[in-house]
Amino acid sequence: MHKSASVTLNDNSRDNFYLRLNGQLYESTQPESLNPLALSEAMIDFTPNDRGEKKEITITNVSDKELHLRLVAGAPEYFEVDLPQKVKAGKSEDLEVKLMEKLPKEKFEKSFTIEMDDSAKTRLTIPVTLVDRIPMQVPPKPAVRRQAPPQKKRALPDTTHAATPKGEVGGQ
Amino acid sequence: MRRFISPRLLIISVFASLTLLVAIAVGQQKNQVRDTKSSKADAVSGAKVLVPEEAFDFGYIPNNSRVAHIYKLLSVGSDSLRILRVKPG
Repeated sequence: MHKSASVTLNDNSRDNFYLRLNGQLYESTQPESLNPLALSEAMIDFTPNDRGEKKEITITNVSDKELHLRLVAGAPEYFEVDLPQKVKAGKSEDLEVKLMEKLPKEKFEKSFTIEMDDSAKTRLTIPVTLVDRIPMQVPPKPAVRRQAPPQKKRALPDTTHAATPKGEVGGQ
Repeated sequence: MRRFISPRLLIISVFASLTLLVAIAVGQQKNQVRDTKSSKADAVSGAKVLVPEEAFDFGYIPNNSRVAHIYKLLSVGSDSLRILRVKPG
């Protein structure tokens, strides 16, 4: 994925230039398929109730070499990233993201990027969002005892003195 | 007593002097306007930008997600830096 934006300023010596963004998309439902660092979650979603709270993502080094990690981009005014400095080969570590108590905006869509020290200098970006709606919690309805409607009494047929057909004696 | 300068000549010389003074004054005013304009032009061109980072690599990104990156533009000139237009592509 390659995107760019053309920027025009009042700098006569440089009237127009481009800011470029590069990335490689992967299936968000399969964060564990990444290499050399697999993730337990592809993204982090906060709610307004999570201010000051932490969320974790487990990162697993699926390579055969120890990996050192560093944070190359983030949004420190919105959240803090506690990144393990290294992950041993075949091992897992937890990455913590803490939502700030005071936020510049009530909702945001940000991200942070980590870089590994493998030969390719692989990078990984994890989106962090805060939605402004709290899941509705509908209180359970109180149990209502339903009373059976009054049944109309039906006159039962009188079977004690069954009428016998003509010509027959008694009942067989 | 003899007059060395006739009244008519005196009046003409005074008028010429006044005319010369007015011409000099107007000329100086024009120079001032020209200097002001040139200084304004210098101020516009005095804006200068420094872009420490022009490209960013996100690496792996989950699809159907939104990611963000902040680019910093530093104003290092003598005039205010203004962003005139941003056109995403």
